Amino acid sequence: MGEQDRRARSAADRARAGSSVCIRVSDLGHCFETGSGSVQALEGMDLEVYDREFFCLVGPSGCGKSTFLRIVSGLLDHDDGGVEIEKETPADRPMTSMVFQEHGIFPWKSVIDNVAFGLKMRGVSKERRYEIAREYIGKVDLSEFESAYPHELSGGMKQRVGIARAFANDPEIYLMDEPFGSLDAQTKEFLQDELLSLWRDSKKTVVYVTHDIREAIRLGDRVGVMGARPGSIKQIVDVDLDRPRTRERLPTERIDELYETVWRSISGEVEQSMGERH
Amino acid sequence: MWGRVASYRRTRISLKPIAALVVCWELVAYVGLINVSFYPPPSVIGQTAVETLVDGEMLGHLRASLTRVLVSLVVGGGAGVGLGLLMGWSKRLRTVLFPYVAVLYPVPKVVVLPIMFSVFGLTELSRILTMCLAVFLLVAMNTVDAVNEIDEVYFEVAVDNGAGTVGLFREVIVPGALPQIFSGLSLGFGVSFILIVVVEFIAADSGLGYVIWSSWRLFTIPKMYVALFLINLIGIVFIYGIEEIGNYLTPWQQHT
Repeated sequence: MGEQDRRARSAADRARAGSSVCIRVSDLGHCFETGSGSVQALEGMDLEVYDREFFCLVGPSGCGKSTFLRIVSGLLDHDDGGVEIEKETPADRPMTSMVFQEHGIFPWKSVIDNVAFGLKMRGVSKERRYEIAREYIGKVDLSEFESAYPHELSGGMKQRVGIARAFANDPEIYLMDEPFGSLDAQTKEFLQDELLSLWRDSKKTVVYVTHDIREAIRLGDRVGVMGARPGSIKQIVDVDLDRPRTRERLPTERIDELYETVWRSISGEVEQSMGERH
Repeated sequence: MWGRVASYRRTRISLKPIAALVVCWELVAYVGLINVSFYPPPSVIGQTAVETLVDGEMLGHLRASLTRVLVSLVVGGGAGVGLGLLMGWSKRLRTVLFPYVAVLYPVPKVVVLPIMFSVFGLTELSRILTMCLAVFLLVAMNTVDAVNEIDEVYFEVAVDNGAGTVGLFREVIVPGALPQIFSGLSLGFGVSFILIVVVEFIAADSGLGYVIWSSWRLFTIPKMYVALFLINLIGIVFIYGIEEIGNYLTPWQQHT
């Protein structure tokens, strides 16, 4: 595939070509009340996430990445500004579904009941929800473990259960909060591939929060860099890499360049947030 | 190596040492090393057990004690679990009700007995209510604790997947609290078990505690031992029974 094709497929061009906006965030602000006063987690955050885009969000810890996801998912109410999801609410499917960090699956439910949980809450019959759950359990290679409990699974397997649950929900938007943050490098890479192939089949929008820059570049169409608290979008980097991004096809040089760009943007923020403490 | 570790951990209780002790007791009594009027040999206790169980006297006392323990566990424990879950679930309910539980919780439950007697008279109701209250407080306290200790992320997961109030209660609060609820029930049983003996010692004319106390005063020592061992047996059945039911209802937990 030539240079020309690659350019044409970059997310920025797609946007220019009229790809519609899926999540529109304007001047978003959120403040937490804690025991020792209030903390401004987000302030003046503007962002447009496009339809069917894989959007990654990186930033120093405590910059409000997770807070942002929780606001988009509706788990948290925000104080200022707005988050609009410019999609019609599906009749029998959820608008968003979260994949959580560690501990995101119920220890008291078997694998299949964890995956079928969202369907159960929406009143899907047991027979039908198990059918759907089995399909996604198969896609994440856990068929042998469908009746196992989480304590019998490894960390990577647990995260696959969380991902299978989100995909079984079949939402318009996937919100992922460092789902692979606690995994070892090999498992992580393996699951990244799995996730990309699931996403490709689903043709849906993903907002993926991570602190791992390489992961963001590997997965995302664009990488948004968030500034230190109060969080807002500082820079957006286009990831102009072909898909499917299989291991052998990844151009290491270009990845290093992108890494440098994102790193420079982040490190300024890290220094700033550390400097403030003096 | 693993086999050895497992064999250390999974020791089943063997009855042989207990049988050996019984035989020793019988022997030292037989050769006259101990005073058999205070420490009757197992053969005499066994004989008394058969006699008193067959003629129905001991059976009646056993039934009386068993009923009290069971009622206190079912009523007191049930109320404790129910109210504990509700208090853990609703902040408003917790604000209103929890102070009572927290204040009453450390009271030695026996002191409630005279109050009960003054309200309800020297009746079975007073005895059972005292025991129920003790079990209730322990179980309620543990249940509230159990709900509070459920990781916040499970509530988020449930809400994100569309759970409403009922869904949260059924899918997160109840199963999340269940293991500790059973610890609470075990503790509750322990207290009700102490209480029953005390209550029957001082304020009842039935039950195994009553038999122990009156046998001591009338110096019918073998009967005292029969009641004592029957109480022991109830304790074993309930402690392991509660544990087994708990294990059965929480199959997701790792059991050693």
